Amino acid sequence: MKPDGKWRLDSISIRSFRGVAGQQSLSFGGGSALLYGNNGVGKSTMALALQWTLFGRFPSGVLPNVGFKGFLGPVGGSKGASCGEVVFRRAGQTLTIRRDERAGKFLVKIGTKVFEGEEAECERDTLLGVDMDAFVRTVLLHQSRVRGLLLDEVKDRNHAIDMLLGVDAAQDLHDVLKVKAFLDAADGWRAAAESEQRRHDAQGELLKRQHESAVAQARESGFLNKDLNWSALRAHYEKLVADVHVLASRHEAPLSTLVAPASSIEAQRFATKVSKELNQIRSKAQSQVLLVQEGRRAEEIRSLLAEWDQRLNDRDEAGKLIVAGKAEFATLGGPERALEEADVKVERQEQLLTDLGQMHKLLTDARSALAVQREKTCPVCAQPVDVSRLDKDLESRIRSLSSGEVAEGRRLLATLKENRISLKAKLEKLADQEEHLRLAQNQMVKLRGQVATLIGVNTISESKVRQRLLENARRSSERCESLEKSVGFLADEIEGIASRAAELDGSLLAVILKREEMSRHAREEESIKRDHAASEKTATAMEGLGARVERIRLALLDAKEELASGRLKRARPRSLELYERLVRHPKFSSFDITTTARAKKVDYNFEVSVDGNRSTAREAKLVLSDGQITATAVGIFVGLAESAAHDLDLLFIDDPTQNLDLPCKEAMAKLMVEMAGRKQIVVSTHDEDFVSYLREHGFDKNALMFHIESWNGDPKIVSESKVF
Amino acid sequence: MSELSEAVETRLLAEKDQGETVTLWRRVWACYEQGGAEAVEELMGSLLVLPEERA
Repeated sequence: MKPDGKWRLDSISIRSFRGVAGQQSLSFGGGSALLYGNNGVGKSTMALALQWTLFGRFPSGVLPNVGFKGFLGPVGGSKGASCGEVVFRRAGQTLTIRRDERAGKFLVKIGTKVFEGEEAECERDTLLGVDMDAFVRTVLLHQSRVRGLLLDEVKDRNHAIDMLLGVDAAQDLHDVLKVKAFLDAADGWRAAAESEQRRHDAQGELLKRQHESAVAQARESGFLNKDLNWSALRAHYEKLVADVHVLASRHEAPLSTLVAPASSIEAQRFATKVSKELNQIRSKAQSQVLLVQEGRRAEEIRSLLAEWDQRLNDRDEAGKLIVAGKAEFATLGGPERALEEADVKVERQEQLLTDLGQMHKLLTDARSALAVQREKTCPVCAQPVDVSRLDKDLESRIRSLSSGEVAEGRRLLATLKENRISLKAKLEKLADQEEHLRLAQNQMVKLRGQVATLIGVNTISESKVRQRLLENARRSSERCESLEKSVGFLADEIEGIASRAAELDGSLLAVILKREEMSRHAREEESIKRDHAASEKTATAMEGLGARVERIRLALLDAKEELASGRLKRARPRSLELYERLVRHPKFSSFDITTTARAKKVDYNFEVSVDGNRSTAREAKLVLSDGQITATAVGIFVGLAESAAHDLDLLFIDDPTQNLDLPCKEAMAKLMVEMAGRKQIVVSTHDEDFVSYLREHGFDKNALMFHIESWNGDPKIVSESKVF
Repeated sequence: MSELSEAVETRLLAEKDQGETVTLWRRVWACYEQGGAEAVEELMGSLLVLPEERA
């Protein structure tokens, strides 16, 4: 152990962490070391494990866009709870720091004492003399912090310098502590309270106007000031209810269940109840019921009268037709006699035609016989006979009989038959009329029965039917008129009561309701005042918080500027020396980083110049190559580390030769060798040139060389030399 | 105590009547140490009382 009493790194053991899926231990024994191997074999994992085990978190920029747990988990294995143990030693003391993610434990063991949780954190800071910001600024240089200096955006480069100087926390906090939200909230509270007050005032004005309007309406309706209260309104309601009861009783409607409302809430439904009640009285009043009945009776009388007249007319018409029909047959001795005669005429004519036919046959037979006669003498008188003349006579007679008598006889027969058909039709029509007359008579008998029932007698003669119906129609009409008057009076009374109820609703009740509403509004005023006061209190609290946040922001910027400029100042001599050794710029032999405090940030001016002459200053990003900037950054880090006061005698530098040319790599290797002679240096690199230079300048003579040969879920590490 | 925290606190204490600001700063710093900027954002959110939350 070193005599200065500072802590040196003895070992790092990790499990399930980043590049290590299983378990891996590196034992440094307090000496310097080189971790080298190709990209992705887990070199940087050791630097991250050292920081995580000590502090449990990473500075901003290390975990871009990934979750913390996702970042910790082993790359090549299943997710497991990470665990790390770091051992430091100094002058016979051993300090063991252990972090177990699964158990959620952080332990610090010094000698036989074991501390846990917050106690352990305090003990760690006390023993090592660094917090996380100081650790990453003065002990562990992670490649990500150098890389930022090469970015194009000024804001990104400023952030990188923040990280290099260990003041990025100040900027992070400054960015995240926002005042506007608190001031907006305060404004919002006040605006909401004022809006509520305005709404309340507007409502009060509206209520006042509505009340005045309701009072004016009540006065117009004839109510006096003394009526504008609940007792008076209640008295009006009771009177109205009493009137409804009297009305129902007088018109023999069912008794009303209506009662006066007991409160303004009930009163708001009272007009509807009154309306229903009045409708009930209107429909069930005796006069209305009788009017309906009498209306039906009058309608029945009108209907019977119309039917009676119709039947009477039908019967009379049928009778007239029968008389006329019978008169037509009067000269013929009646319809039956006329039909009998027609039948006889037809029979006679048919007989005549038969006789004529027989005569025609006889003559025809005679002519035939004459044609075969041998004797030309008369068989009676024995005189000679002129057969020829006789045949001509017979022929002439036969022809005459066919074209004359027979044809005429047939025409006459046809006429007689038509006459007989016509006669039969007339007789059938007469029979129909007689049937119609009989039916009409029957219906009239039935109607007489209905009329008798309607007018309340046992029987009624035909001659009295019309008269009685007309008398009853007149009396029914008189009764209807009387009942309609009565119903009209009832409607007037109902209208009067409904109108009074509506008037009470629209005037007195409106006044009462508005007054109640105004009372509630006045009570609400108190509540709004309390809310307003509470809102103002909250607004003031938000303003106060905003002001405190603003003071913190200002203090953060001020502290950041002071810390950054102080650290740069202390690191400046050594950083300048290393700039000359590592960069060896042919013209710009000097560099400087100065701070400028702005309203919301601290800007950095990273410039190079000729021998520190300000007039030659140029922005470093525009002059230096990426490799030169990287070398300058390492120089600044070493300057910061060596000017810091803490109890760790360790520098852990991750990948210091990115973008460096060979001369610069050699210079960097010499620097590492030189520093390893004074303190514990742990370097990780994939750069074989750099490894060669380290060997060439004897780094391996005083340091362990860990070659990470391959990676298959876990780094395969070969310890090449062990001097101690 | 970190240098930054101490430097901020020193500045706040140098001003009059900033006891509550110092208390708030300590809460902010403790929060930052535990959970970083995100945790501080959450703390700010929890301190903010918006008018929408009125009863």
